[in-house]
Amino acid sequence: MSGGGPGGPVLDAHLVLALDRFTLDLPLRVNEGEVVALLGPNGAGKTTALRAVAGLHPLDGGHVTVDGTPLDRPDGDTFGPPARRPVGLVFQDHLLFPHLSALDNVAFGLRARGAPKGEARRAAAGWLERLGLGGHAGARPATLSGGQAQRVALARALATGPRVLLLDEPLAALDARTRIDVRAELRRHLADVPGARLLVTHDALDAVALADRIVVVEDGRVSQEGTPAEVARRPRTPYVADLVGTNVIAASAVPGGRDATTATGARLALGAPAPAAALTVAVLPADMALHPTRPDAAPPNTWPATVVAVEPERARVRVRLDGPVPLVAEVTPAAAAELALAPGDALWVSVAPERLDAYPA
Amino acid sequence: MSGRERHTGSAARARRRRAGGGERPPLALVAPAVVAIAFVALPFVALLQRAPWGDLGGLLRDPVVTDALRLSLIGACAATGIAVVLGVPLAWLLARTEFPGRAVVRALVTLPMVLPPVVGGAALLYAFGRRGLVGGPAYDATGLLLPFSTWGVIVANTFVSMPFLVITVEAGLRSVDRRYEDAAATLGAGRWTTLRRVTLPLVTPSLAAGALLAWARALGEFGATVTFAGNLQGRTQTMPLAVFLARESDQGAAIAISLVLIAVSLLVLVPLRDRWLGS
Repeated sequence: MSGGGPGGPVLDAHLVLALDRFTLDLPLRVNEGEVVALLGPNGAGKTTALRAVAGLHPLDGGHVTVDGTPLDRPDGDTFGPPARRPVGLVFQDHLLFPHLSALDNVAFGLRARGAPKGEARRAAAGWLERLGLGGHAGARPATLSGGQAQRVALARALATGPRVLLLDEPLAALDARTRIDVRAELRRHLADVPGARLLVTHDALDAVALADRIVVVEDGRVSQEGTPAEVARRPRTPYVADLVGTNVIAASAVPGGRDATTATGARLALGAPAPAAALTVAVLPADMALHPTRPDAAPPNTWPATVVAVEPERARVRVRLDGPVPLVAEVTPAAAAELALAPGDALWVSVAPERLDAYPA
Repeated sequence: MSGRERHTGSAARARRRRAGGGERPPLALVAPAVVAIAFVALPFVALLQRAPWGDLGGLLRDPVVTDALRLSLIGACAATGIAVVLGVPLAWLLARTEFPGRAVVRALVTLPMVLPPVVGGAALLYAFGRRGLVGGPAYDATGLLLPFSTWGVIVANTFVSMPFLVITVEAGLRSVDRRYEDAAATLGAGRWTTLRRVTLPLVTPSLAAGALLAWARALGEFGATVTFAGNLQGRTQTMPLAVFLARESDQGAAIAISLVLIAVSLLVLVPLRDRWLGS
């Protein structure tokens, strides 16, 4: 349990896992008190990564180290079974034992570690109380709501005092309405517990709301890492851009110049000098203007485009466009009606140079 | 919570109808189902109609009947107990492990269900009889003999009924979500604790169903018992054997014993069948 040293990461891992379609290669460090979100599309291997940390899926390479103690190190022939790891896991669908009451579910870990029944139950009752479930101690899991079941699952994982708490899609099993309440609640509970906390989600909102730091995983690799604000402000890949509701364009430029060229050869006029040769250029969907014909004055950053899809949202209509620069534009429903947008339509799109945010790729 | 019940009108009606079980069943299903009920019920009605109601009290107090009832219950319950103790570990091995020859073992386990019980009884004799493969040396060493003893009845019953338990529990183990066992492991439970506190409770319905099927099979067992254990009143003569013997001398007694057997079966099946094998 020692050797990590004060200030060292609680969880220090390099997860190398050969999956069906690709190999996951994920360096990961989580410090004391930190909440890290692994954000990635479904099928990115996020759940397998959590299972590997918990010891339910042996690593193919790399290592899992908690507080300086190696738990899984294939090259050193080290493997600590899940039951002996200081790691708690909250499953996506909770997996509360259906034959046990909420109280006995929470007491399970302490009992399994040899605590006498009475003592384990007293401790479990304390956890349920702390998570606001004091009145549901005797309830069977089947009678609990989704939010309650999730809190019982959280209490069950926390009761054994894990150094690393893992949460697999903690909000995915909840309906949209309870989700908002539970998200706020979960953030509070996560702030209360010591140790490292690592959650996986495919929902950017959950990651932003719950995590201190976001690690984006795409195709088995880390594609971006940073605080929620950094990730939201400066997305680096189309996947992240789509999640945070913006567009990114990969481009190259002469540093200091105001002209850039996209990978497809389109020219961009930047509002500020290019900070690097390889750029990521972000542009908000709402900052783009759509025109039925080529605008007369033909301002810079005007391209022809084809409508791929028209997706009405609340007060806006998202228009997916193909062309020299594939983009998502957002217009008002009135503008969409006026343009009579339909998939296959040809039109023109323009954006003011000062609306392009260029940063190093 | 208020957002929970937001069905459209017709969906809500359909749901209520389903929940209330008030759906009108199609005639194409009802007609053959009624024929099936009649087919099963008629023989019992016929049996009741031939029952010697006047002499019933005396017949039921006959030691032949009480001995047979006692032996049948002992045989069926003991066989079920042994089937559980040996069959659950076997089901676990078949469901959870890979070993060479597993397909052969699985076929072997089901063989007593397919085999005529007489063949099973004869095979048991060659194995555990006075001159059997195991029975011979065992007799020479200890003087104990299984055939023609109450233990013989239990062995024959176990042989024919264990497959029902193994198959049911194996299917139950296969349908358990293994991630419950993962959850137990992350909470610090070793394999034995996980088996005892998670896996077995989760397969309880299958275990109960399998035990009930095994018990029912053992209660009606005839061929293997008569071949291996013989037909000795008070020692190996169970109800089915007593019925078979009485039919040749005293029809009334045979019917009376049959009625007792039916009553005992219904007493167990009516409350348990719905709980563990239905719904």
